[in-house]
Amino acid sequence: MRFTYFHLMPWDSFSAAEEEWPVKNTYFDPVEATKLYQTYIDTMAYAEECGWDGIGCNEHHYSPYGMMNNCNLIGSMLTAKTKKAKICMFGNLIPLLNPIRVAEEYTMLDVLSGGRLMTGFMRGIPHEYIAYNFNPDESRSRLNEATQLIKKAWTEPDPFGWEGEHYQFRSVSIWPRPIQQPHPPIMMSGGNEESARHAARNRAMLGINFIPSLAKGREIIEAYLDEARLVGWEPGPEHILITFHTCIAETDQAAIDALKGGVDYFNSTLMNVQRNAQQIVLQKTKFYQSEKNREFFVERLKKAKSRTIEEAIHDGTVLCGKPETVVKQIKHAQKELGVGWINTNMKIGNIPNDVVTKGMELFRDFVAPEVRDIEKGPEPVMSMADV
Amino acid sequence: MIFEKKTVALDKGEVTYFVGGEGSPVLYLHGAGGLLKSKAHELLSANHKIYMPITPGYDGAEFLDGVDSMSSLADLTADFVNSEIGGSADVIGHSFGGWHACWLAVNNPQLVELLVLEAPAGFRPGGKGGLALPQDELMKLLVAHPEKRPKDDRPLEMIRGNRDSVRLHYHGGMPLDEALVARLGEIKSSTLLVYGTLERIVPIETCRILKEAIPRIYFNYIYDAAHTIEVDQPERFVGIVGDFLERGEAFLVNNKASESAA
Repeated sequence: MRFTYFHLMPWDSFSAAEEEWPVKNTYFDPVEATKLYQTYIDTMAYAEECGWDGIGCNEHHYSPYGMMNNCNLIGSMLTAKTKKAKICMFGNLIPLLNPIRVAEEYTMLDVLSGGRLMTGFMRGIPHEYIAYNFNPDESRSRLNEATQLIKKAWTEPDPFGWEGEHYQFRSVSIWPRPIQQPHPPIMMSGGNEESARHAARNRAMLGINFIPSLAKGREIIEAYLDEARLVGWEPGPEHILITFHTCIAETDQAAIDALKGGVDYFNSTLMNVQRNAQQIVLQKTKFYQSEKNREFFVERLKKAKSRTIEEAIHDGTVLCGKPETVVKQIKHAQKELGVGWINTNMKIGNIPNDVVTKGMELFRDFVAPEVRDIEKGPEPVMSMADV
Repeated sequence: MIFEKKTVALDKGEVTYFVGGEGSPVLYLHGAGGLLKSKAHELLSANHKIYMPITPGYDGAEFLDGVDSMSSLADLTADFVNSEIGGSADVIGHSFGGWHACWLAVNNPQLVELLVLEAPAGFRPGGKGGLALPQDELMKLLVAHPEKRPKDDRPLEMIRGNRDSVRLHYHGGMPLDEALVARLGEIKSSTLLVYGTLERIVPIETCRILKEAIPRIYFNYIYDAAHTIEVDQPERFVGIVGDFLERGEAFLVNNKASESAA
């Protein structure tokens, strides 16, 4: 089993009762943010010392939900502060960005890190499309085309042009080119079966976030495996990653108490400010092509908000407790889902940073030694068949 | 746009061709399936006079004595250009026609202004790719979007004959024309090479060979197109080819105004 340390980089002291997105930026204290960025980056680098195999973050806009508008900037700092951990950009919101710029920045990270980059090709959550003024109806087709274009930018030895539906470039030849050949591993979102099948068709790793139940996670993974076989390849555990809210403390109760506080802040404050914008996109656009997937997304948010920590622990959808408890939870999740990667999100909402750090040390001393050798498969490596 | 069918008597024999449009002349050389007039031809004819000769032996035309190789076919085409266009022209060649166009450009560089190669045949090292596939499989590789395929009045047997036997008259099925590869460096024209992202008949190695050998060549992927790019993505094909024909190498530079908020 391999582990990645994920950081949402939240603004953890937001007290305004805002319900509208975007959130006005007078609430943002740049001086405080300097300290917060530094703390978060130091914590992320510390994850390598604590035994995580990879460290990462992602991209969000216009709210206290997450402060990494461009996660590649954070990734760049991590390349300098770490030696062996994978730099996990989970990921750039591909349809909202210039794909050539993404190819270049990702490649810079791969080279700066000596070939340690893992990339995320994400579509984003609905309201981000308002932020960068893109039509949500086109999110899927933009992602499809940009993915192919970025792969070509990484692998094409000669200068080339691209005449597409959304993108036109008459001359592309990126410098540098990636260390990992033919290109760094790609992970795509498995938020539902449709997304999982899309990831399989692109021969990408599958990244599942915050599932409502292990059974639903299994359905998504089955869809991924099924589609992969249809297009002629067989994913192993090393191709599947699942993200859990993770809280480790000296006792089960201490972990539950800490997680409760963090999740409450996460749901009632960080998520709240974007709920209205999210609803507009979901109701007025075809961000989700099928009604089933739209409903699943809405239900997942509702369930995340209404479910108690105890229920989530019972359902196996969070990792929470003393080290021995978390070891059992990890083994159970691995057995049920067959995943090779667990992505731990430990700075949930406003959980104090010292509680997070303590949990990381408990992970290092008591959890990792018990679960590291569970079936994990080889490292994911891309082949030219993936291009 | 209706293309007019004509016939010209050249020294080696008669050649039938279609012509239409207004503007600077463009010679279009068809692929191994014969001539299938498409939306792309119509779009191009808005700014160009398009000449589309039918290769002897294709689409029911007679073979001509002494025209039995790609090089001699190119020489016949040079006669056609001199006779009907009366000077140089821009040239577009698709697949077999791209191969044909390369021979025209090396044998008669003075006749070729700008050269457009659309998934050209003849440069398949190791025999990779090609047309030797069952019909249903081949059809999927020729066109990714069959719903866009224009109506074709030719009998199916004629189209199959074009592809399966007529083309062999000129090259015997050789996958890699080494004699031509040795001369690609003689091509003087600025060249645009277009290749579909779904291409499976012409291998990517073809593009590598051409990129390496032709001095001034630009290589462009056309997204979501298989072998017959002009059918799968006529607007994208004409978008880039039309721009190249209009501006030459300056097509690299974006000259479109930003969309106005008004």
